[in-house]
Amino acid sequence: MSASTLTAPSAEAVSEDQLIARIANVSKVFGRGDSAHTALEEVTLDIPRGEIFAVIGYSGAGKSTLVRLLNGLERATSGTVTVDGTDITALAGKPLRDVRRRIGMVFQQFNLMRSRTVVGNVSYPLELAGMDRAEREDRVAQLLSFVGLLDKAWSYPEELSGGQKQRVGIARALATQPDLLLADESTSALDPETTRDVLGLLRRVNEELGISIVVITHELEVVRSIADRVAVLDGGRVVETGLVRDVIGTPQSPTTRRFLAAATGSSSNEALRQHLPKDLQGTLVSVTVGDERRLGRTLSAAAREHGVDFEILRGGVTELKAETLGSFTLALTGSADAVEATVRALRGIGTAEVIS
Amino acid sequence: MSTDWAALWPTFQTAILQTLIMAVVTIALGGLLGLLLGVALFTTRTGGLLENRAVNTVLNVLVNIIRPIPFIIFVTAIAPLTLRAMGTTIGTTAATFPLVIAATFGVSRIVEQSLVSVDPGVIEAAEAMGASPWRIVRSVLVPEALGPLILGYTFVFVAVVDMTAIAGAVGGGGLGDFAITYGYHRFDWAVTWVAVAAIIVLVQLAQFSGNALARKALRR
Repeated sequence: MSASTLTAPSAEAVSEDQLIARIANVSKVFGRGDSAHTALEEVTLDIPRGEIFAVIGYSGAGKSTLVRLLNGLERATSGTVTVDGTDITALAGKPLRDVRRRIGMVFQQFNLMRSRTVVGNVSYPLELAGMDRAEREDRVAQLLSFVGLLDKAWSYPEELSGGQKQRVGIARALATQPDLLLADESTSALDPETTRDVLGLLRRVNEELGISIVVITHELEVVRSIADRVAVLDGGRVVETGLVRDVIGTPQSPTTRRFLAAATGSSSNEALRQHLPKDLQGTLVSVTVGDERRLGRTLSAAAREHGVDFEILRGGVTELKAETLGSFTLALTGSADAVEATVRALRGIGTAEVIS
Repeated sequence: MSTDWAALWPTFQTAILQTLIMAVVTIALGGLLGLLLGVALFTTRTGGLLENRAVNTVLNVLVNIIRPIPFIIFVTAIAPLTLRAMGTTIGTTAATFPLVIAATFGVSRIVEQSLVSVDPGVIEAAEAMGASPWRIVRSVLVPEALGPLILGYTFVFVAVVDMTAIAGAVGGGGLGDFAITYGYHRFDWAVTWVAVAAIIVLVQLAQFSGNALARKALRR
C-alpha cells in the first residue's frame, strides 16, 4: 500500500457544508528559537457534521493541542481552522467568545467549580449567555434529567463520584445547545464501568440531540465503541484517517497497528511466526471481514471448489459502534492457484492480506 | 506610684477607636486596591488570562521594592507624599495613608498566592465557555479562591493592627501611641499591659471571625 493512500479522503468524502469543522494545513509551534517545539505539523482534517469523530494518539502526539484549536484555546501557527463555516483562525476577543459559546467542551479532570453546586456549575454557561433566572432553572433541570443527575442537583462536586462529575461536565457543555462538543480524554480518569456509562451518554448526545462530537483519546476502546471516524495522530502528524471500520479493519500505519496490538494483546506477524508449530504448512493470510458468518461459508466453498485446506490460527470479533469486525489469521494449504483463488474469494467479503 | 485609671479611661477609649478606624479603613481600602493589584499580578503572568510580560515585570518589581521596607521607615519615607495627599502627616487620618499603601502591596501578594491555588483547568473551562477575562476574575477566580482569600485577609488584618501601633509612634494615635506615651514613657507597666490586652482581644476577635468565615467558604 503506498503512502498516499494512508491519508487520502475516504470514498464517502463529504462536501463543505456537511462539515462541522475543517482543519486545513495547520501547524502549531510552541516557543521560539532553540526552545521551539512543533506540536502539530501540517494537519488536515475534515470533521463531518452529526458524527462522532475520534482522534487517537499517545501522550505527546498533539491531541490536546488539536482539540483546543477547534475552540480557539490554542491558536494555529499556520493554516486555517473553520468551525461551522466560520474561520476562527483570526478571531479574538468577543467574536471568538461568541463562537466558543456554540461549542461545548468536556475535560479529563472535569474542571467543575468547587464553589458551586451541580446546579450552579451547569447554569454557569447560561449566565454567560445572559439567560434570566427562571429560564436557567428550567434548562438546568432539563439537562440534569438528561444526564440522570437530578437527585444530585444541590450537591457540591466534592460529594460526587468521577462518573457523576463527568455527567455534570457533559450537562454543562450541553447547556447552551452547542453544535459541536469537544471531549478531551473525557473518560481517562474513570474506571472501565463508568467509562462505558459516560461513553453511552456521549452516544446519546450524538444520536438524540444530533450534536457532532470530537473525542480525543489514547484508548482504542473509546474509538471502537462510539466513533464513526477516526484520525490517528503521531508526533504531531495525522498518520491515518478514515471510517473506524476501515482503520481498525485494515490499519495502514505502524502507529495504528501498535494501538491494535496493545488493545488485543496480539503480536506482530514475525512474533506470530515464532509461536506457530515448526511443521506448519501453508500460506498465512490475515483476513478482516465485517460479517464474520460469511467467512465460514466462503472458506467452506473455497475448500470444496479449489481443494484448499484451511486452519484458523487465531482471531476474534470486535464490537464497533454499529457493526462487528472480525479479524482472523488463516493458514491455507493447497496449490498456488488454489490459494490465490481462495484469497480472491476472501477479498470479495472483506480484506485479505498474504503474510507469507 | 499608682495609675490614675479614671483620668486615663477616656484617652484609652479614644485610642481603641483610633486603632479600630485605622485598621478597618486600611483593610477595606488597602484590601480592595491590593485585590486589584493581586489580580493584575496573577492574570498578567506567563500563560495567564491577560498575559503581559512587561506589565507583570513592572508590577513585580514595584511590589518587591515597596513590600520589604520596614513600616516605620516607610511611614517616614513617604511623609512628603502623605503631606500632599492628606494635607498633614500628623493624626489618625494622615496615618491611614501610609497604612493603606503598605497594606495594598502586602495584600497583593496574598491575593496572587490565593489565586494560584485555583485549578487552571477550571479557568480553562470558563474560557472554553466564552467567559471574558474580567468575568472569569469575578465569577471564577475570586469565588474559587474565597477560602484562602479570607484567611489571607485575616492574616493581613492582624499585620495591619501591628502597623497601626507603629503609626502611633509618628503621631497616628491609637493603642500603640497610648502604650508608649502613658505606659513606657511613664514607667507604668500596667498601662502598657492594658494596651497589649486590648490589642490581643482585637486580634483574637479578628482571627476567630476570619476562621469562621473561611470555614463557611470552604464548607468544612
